[in-house]
Amino acid sequence: MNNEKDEDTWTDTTRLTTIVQPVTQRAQTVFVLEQLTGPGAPRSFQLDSQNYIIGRGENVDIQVNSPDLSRKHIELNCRSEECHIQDLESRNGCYLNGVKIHAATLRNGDTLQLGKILFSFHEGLQ
Amino acid sequence: MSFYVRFWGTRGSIPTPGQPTRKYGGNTSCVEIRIGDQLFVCDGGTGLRELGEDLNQRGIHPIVGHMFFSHTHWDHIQGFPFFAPAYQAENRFHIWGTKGEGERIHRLLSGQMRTEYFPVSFGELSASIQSETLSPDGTDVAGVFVQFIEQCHPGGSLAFSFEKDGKKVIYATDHELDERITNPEESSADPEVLRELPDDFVNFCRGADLLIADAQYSDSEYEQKKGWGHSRALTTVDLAIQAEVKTLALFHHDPMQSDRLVDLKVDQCRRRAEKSNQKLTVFGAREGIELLIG
Repeated sequence: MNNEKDEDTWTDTTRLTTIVQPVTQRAQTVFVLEQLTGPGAPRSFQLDSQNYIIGRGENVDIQVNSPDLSRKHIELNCRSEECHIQDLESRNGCYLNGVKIHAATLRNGDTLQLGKILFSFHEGLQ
Repeated sequence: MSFYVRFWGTRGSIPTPGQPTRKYGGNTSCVEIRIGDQLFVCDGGTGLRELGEDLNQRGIHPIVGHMFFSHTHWDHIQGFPFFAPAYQAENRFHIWGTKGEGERIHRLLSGQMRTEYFPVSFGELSASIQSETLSPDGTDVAGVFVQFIEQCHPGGSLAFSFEKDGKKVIYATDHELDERITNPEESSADPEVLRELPDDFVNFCRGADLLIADAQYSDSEYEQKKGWGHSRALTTVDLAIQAEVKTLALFHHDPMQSDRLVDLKVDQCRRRAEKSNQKLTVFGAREGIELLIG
């Protein structure tokens, strides 16, 4: 008897609900390098998940035709969440926010200086 | 020979993960110095875990490292149980300290791995981990001249100097420089006055290519934290000026400081450095930055 009552109660108070999974798109981090000065500026480059060589040489990914830059000046290694920079033993060095560095993990708003050429780094969600 | 200096943890006191500290990082003290094929590690805060992962990815066999602990407060040893290379039998680590100190550090590192605190015992670290003693007159460690000096910090702490081929890097964190100002009345009456510091410490740092130094507090923050063993950032700049240091890395950021506040601290320190007639580069130490000295 009690079981029947319980079952009735359950039936009265319960509604079947279809749970709909929300359609979500995982936000991706987008990296953009903006060239502020020098030949070709202003221009910007969206950086995908790969390696980029920046320099004045012809066989590089981002070419800046300036004698301030070495043929292969720096390498950018962009993974899913972060972008890393490494100086490729360039003649005029790589400056991050005014400090000469050999390597770094870049953060939003960082300023890069290669020789006299200025860049700004931006990251955000898409 | 060049020095490569990489920051793996720059935060003081306690890890501070999260978006507000993403730029400078939330891991506690750990700095890697590579000189030729020799590895030196300053402190084993939580940044040591990521250094260990990176060392394993470099494919070096065996990994041999010389470790220097400024002292054994939590934020300087907490990464050690998570240092993966210490679990590999082929690797060798030398823990350097003053007479008896290396053994004490060894004992405390193993103590934090007792079952009350950690699930894996120190005995399971299969790498060779040896205590070594630094001479007060300086010690040749794998071809690098290493010196130390005692600092003002509750329980004591050491600063270390690494020199080779005319290059010099100083690691000096957890030091309340403000306790040692020799013109306290004059400099507190006028904040623009250079805070003079004692000759022993100034000479220890003199001419360094890179000084990595405790700069935890702004002047206003320090008022509530006197005696806690850390420096005002502007006092650290004054040390660098007096010691004719070339580059100063502001280190051991306060856990209450967001990236924005560290940026403000760095700007303030740069302005003070610019007022001196010295060529001094000042920056806020941040995770992932690697400098090449040489």
